[in-house]
Amino acid sequence: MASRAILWIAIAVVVIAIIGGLAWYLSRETAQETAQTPQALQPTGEKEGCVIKIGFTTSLTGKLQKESAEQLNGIKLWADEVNSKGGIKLPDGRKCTVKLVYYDDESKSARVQELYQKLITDDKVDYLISPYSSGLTAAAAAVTDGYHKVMIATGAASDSIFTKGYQYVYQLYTPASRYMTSAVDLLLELDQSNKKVALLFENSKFAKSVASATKAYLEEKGFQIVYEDYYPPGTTDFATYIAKISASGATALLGGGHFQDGFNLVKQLYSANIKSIKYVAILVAPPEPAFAELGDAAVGVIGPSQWEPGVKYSPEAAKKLGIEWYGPTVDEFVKAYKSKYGKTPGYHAAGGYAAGLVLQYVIEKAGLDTEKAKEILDNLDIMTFWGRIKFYKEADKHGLQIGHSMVLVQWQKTDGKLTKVIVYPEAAAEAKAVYPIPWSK
Amino acid sequence: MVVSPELIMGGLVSGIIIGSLYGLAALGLSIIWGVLKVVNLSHGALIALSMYLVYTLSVMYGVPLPVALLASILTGFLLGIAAYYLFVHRVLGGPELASLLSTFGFGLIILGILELAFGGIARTIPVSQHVIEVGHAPIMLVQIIGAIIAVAVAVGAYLLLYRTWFGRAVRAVVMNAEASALMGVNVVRVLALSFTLGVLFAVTAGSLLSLAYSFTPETGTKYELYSFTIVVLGGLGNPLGSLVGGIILGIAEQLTSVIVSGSWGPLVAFLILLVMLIVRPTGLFAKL
Repeated sequence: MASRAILWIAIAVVVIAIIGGLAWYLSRETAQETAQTPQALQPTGEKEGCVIKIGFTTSLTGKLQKESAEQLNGIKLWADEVNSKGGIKLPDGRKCTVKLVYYDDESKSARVQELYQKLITDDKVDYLISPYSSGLTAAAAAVTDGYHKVMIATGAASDSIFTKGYQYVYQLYTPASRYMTSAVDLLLELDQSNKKVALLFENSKFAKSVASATKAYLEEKGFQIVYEDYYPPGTTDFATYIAKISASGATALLGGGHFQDGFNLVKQLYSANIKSIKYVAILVAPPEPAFAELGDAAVGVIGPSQWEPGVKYSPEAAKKLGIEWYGPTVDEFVKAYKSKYGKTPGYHAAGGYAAGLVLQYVIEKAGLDTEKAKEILDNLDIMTFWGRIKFYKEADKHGLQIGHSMVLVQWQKTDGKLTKVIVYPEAAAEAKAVYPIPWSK
Repeated sequence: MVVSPELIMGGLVSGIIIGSLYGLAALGLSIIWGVLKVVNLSHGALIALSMYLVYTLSVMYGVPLPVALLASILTGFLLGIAAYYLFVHRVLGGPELASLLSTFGFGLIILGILELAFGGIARTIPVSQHVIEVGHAPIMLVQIIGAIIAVAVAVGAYLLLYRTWFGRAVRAVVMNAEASALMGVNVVRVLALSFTLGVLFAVTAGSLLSLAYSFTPETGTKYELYSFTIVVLGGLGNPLGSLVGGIILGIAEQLTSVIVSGSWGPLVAFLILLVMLIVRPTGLFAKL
């Protein structure tokens, strides 16, 4: 029937229009930025009006979209601030503005590799920032290092990227191997007699690498590991794990993996009400604002975070350590971010800004000379709003972050209100840690 | 660590409770697969949708929880009818790929809407955290209530299929659609109702599960995968088969975590599936 066919065509047109509209909406940001690139022809900016091109990919679509968007916000804020001051001053006296060249990597490694190739060979960018996540950063590094392009890796905490012999990749995040060690240090400070630890991590690459490093550290510090298990990704019910932890007589629990499993674990742990457990530190979930939905179950739970808006890094703290302070203070960064985006920055956003900031420092000292930039980065030891930044410079783990450390947050109840406070290290802390965890009383 | 009988008891009970809910979720897939010969790839998305319906009503609009649960299940019922005529009816009898793609597409639409509306952040519905401890294992009261409802629904579905006129019509259509049409059975209506029934079971399971654990739009995928295993284990279309299959999987998963290690859970679950496929490919219970 002809009328039927027309109906189908009409439906098809509407569907295509909707999909097209959505695609346009999602991609317009990238289009805006990249559409301008042909104008900035001389990429290395030999003459006046020079422009420094910073290239990266970001996950505008796909599963990493949320975290990636925040990281991108941080990078954009940095670029805007630099350009509003007329750019970065190079060692030869020229002042160059910054141009961000970026594409949507769809959260996929294959896209990342194609696009970093394109950024280097077609767009001829001067410096690189990594995509978000360890997986995508590892994919990018495999391409970029061969071209001898400096890449600041942010949003990537994996250690293994830095054991592959890359010479031009530098990590901003505290690596997985040191994710939980400060939680162990805090426990040592709080209670010398709490020595029976249960480890319950997710059976995923990231959580397992945290677990094995934590285990080694615990053993070194004389702890007794009374329970150790790894739950499959996507686990929602922890009843039998909790039963075994309870039977093991553990007095502290370290574990977690992603947000949801950490959340459910704490929820069930709280309702199980195991009196013997006095200290609980969980990966990833506690720093997230959504963790507050647990209510009373969240109180007392410790979680490591790369960065929090309340951290107390300051020029004075840098002076105490005898290192240089660089860039805005924590408050200045938080204020600028809030006024641009209307919300408080999380660590993804801070990591994005910090990546730009490190590049700015390097460009001021080395200009566009990659080898000189590498030398500066190898010997870098500064403090910024992000914390201390120092890279491992020997070949075996070149570029690994060794200066920055995790801060520990804890959910506390003040005047009946649930708040997240920084409790460790002392230099960054807002309050003293509550110990033991309230439910064990 | 020595595994005490107490711990095994805890694992067993928690396995039965969790397994009943797995079984209820699988029931939805099983009915649709058994009656319509359609593998409903929107199953997981429908489970997730029902979780968000309960969340939206009870948390965002303050509707009392029982009402929110009923409303979510009712919405599932209506959605089931609509989905049948929109996405399933036209591709019935066509190549298998057509129904796979059409239900998959329906699922993607649901997931897309959930992602847009709620994002990937985990949500949770605040309910009583009361637990009953069995051999150190904390079993939530809501889980126990959910399990009882799951068993009741499975038994109800069994009675519906084997003790009513509608059930006879469904089984007749499964055996021979043409012949039953000649005998006066309204085949399209039977198919539509069977599909709706399947969706109804999926959303009931989702609504109950939403009370026990936090969820994201992707949560349904896990239950979809489990449902496939359970359907093979229990036999296509048989409600009791799904329930028993679910409980077997639940016990296997929980006991593995007690005796060996939690990370062995999926291995044991799929080993059972593999053995079942070799030894008894039709499933534990006879086909519908």
